[in-house]
Amino acid sequence: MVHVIARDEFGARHLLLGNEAVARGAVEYGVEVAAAYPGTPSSEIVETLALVADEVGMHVQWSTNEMVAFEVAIGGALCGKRSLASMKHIGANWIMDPLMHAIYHGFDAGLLLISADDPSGHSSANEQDNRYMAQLAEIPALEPSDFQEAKDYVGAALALSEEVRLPVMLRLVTRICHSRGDCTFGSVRRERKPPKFSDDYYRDFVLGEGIVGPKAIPKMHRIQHEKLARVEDAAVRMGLFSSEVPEGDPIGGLGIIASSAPVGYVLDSLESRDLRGKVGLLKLGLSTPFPERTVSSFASSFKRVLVVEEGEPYLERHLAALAKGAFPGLEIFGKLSSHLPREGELNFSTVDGALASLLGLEARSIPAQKLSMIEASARLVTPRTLSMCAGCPHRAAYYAAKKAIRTVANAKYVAIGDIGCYTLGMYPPLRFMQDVFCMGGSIGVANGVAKSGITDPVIATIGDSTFYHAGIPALINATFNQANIKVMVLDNEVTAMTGYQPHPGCGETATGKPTRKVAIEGICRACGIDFVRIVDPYDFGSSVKAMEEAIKFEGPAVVIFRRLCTQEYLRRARRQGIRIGKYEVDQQKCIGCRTCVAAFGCPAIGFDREKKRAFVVALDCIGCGVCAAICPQGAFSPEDRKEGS
Amino acid sequence: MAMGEAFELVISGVGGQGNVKAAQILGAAAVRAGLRVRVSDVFGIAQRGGPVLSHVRIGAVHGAMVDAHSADAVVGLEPMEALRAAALFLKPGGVAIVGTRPIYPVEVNTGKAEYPPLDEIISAIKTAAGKVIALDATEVASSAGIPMAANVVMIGVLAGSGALPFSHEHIEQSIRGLIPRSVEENIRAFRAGFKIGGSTKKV
Repeated sequence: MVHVIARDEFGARHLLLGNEAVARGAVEYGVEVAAAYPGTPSSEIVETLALVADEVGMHVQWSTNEMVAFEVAIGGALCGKRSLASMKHIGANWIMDPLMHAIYHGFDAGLLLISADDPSGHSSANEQDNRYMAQLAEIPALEPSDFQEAKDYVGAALALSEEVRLPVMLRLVTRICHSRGDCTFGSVRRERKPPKFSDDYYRDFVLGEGIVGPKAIPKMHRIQHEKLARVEDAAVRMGLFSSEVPEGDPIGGLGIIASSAPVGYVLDSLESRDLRGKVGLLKLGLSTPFPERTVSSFASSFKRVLVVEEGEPYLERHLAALAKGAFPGLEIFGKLSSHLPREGELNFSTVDGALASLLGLEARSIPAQKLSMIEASARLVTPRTLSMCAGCPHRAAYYAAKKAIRTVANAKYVAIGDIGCYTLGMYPPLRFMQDVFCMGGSIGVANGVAKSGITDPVIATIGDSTFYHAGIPALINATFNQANIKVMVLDNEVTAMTGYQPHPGCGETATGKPTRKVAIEGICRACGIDFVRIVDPYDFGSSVKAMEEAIKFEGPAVVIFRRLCTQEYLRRARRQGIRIGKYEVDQQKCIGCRTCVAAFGCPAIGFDREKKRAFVVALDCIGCGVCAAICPQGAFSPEDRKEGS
Repeated sequence: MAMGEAFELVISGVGGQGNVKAAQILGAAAVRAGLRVRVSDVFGIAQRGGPVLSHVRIGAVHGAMVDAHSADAVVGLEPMEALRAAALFLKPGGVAIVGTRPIYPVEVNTGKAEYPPLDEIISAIKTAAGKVIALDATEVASSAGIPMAANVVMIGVLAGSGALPFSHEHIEQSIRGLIPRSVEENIRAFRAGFKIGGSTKKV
């Protein structure tokens, strides 16, 4: 059955994930090239498009990294195809170079950059607000506030991109991407034109003078500014702004300017307090370039304005700059005035609290009837901390590396981690890596640590997908500058953390077509690494030995720990009807030393505090058998092969 | 539910229990019933084993998140997660449906923390809930022939309790549309839950 986003159901209403609504927009508005590197909360956009690519006639790919994805989209737009690249906010940092080269260029077809920002960093290392990236690049940024707009704004962004001949950013946030809402379908644009490579560069910028180079740059920049000046009018025409101005005097002289997901919190608050239509409300679907005329015309009706936006006080600062000249008496409230929090995402409570405080209304408080339940919950409920899955091959690899370091390096080492499920190796009980930075940062930073005079082994741990994404240049650097680093490639043969997307080592594309595998070991050897070993992390003895040899080796060395991700393995086992063997603990052999639970920490192993013995949680055990190798007493064995039975 | 009103629900559980699917089934059912819907899932970066919350808002709503102490109902697929969510979200007098089969966190498995006794969890929830229905949903699902469908049993109980602003037919249609395999077993599980929800008295 064809996925709902590919159906020709004009006027039908469906419950869609925000990311699915964006994907539906790409289908409706005739996107023909879509590329991405997975990253939460953006991944489902291209994941969903991949399901319908053949049906709707779209090229959809997982690219090696975000930069390549954006370059692929540039290539599509250059050939007259509506194109998009989607990525998480931090992933967008990778595209700055191609983006800054694409901005003076003109494209015949819409070029859409989708940035999924993650305020509060639910699945991210920071809270960066990519509207500043759009401002830096001087390109328009659109902000949908609900699920209908998540779809519709894809069309608006593409049309705007074609009208003003600039790339356009669609700035999403987690609560749009990863929430579901009802969305009414439009018709699907199915006509396809043959590709036409057009040299727009000359058409837009050289202006018949036949020169490209330093003298032309300020002219190109001026043309970009002329393009930007046309954006607000186009946005008005496309209905990207909507305002409610009370007929009489607004309550408290107050108007609210809001964008993105917080528009919903504002509406909920106004309606719950019966204030809708009694204070002003301007919803901005375009935040960059700051729509000065629209905002001025709204602000002129109010004495006080509350700005409600997700991320930095971006609109608030622009409004302050505008008001300085135009409305010197205007009082502006928001994140800068501390009426709303500067850090973390907004929610109903924070927005409703700000509104209550500005209008002198009573703030909501915890109902008295709830106090004893809250007290009991605080007393009874225990934390449920994150851990790698039962049988995760990464845990086994880290445990083997720790043993090797104890044996050959007196347990002293420096280890830098990278971005993936395996980042959890920093936390107890393993505590393997001491630090972590960006994609590929493990190898790059380890290069510097190794050159700074540290004499203990310097280790970088990086996953397979991350290795392809950003590890390779840093590995070449290690050869080039002879940095004595030991790279552990934790290869679980899939991009696990973001939802098991295929990568260049999987032999399969985004749309499930077979393709040639790019082998990590081949890359390593070609990068000049003389020590390259491949081990199965479930083979504990060989893993320890490979790490010991790598540490003793003079010069950069790579150990590839290769074993399929447990979750992916379980999925395939279920499909193929493979029975998963379990392990069990011999209660006579176990002496209660707690090595398995306190040092190794597989969640499929429990510890009975009364009996002082370990036990296997059969439901969770996947039968990897690493517990049998790490138990000092040899107390673990497979259920069906136990001694004496 | 009259026009202009909203029904708000929080479903809590542990990664792998089918939280997200349960919320999606109810959301899609509400769309079938012609209502406006918002559903939001809140979970950490781990694939499995972490706490998961799904927020479902139906009717005259805009934002996707249920506010503190405003949920008309809390469905806890796991007892400790039921209390964690009820303490945060349940409206005084609201309905709590609690799956009684615990999933121990790593802290408990390794002996660092103790899992709270089930009766204390239930009596804590009763201090502010108007109605508490506690059941071993996995057992009910097993007798329907599909132990995995405890989540579907639980939304059946919710529907049977009369809390939802749309009919059980809408939910059954949405189960048929969203569950790819063992559809009839899931419908059986839903109906078994529905019966339990309808037969419970107010506590």
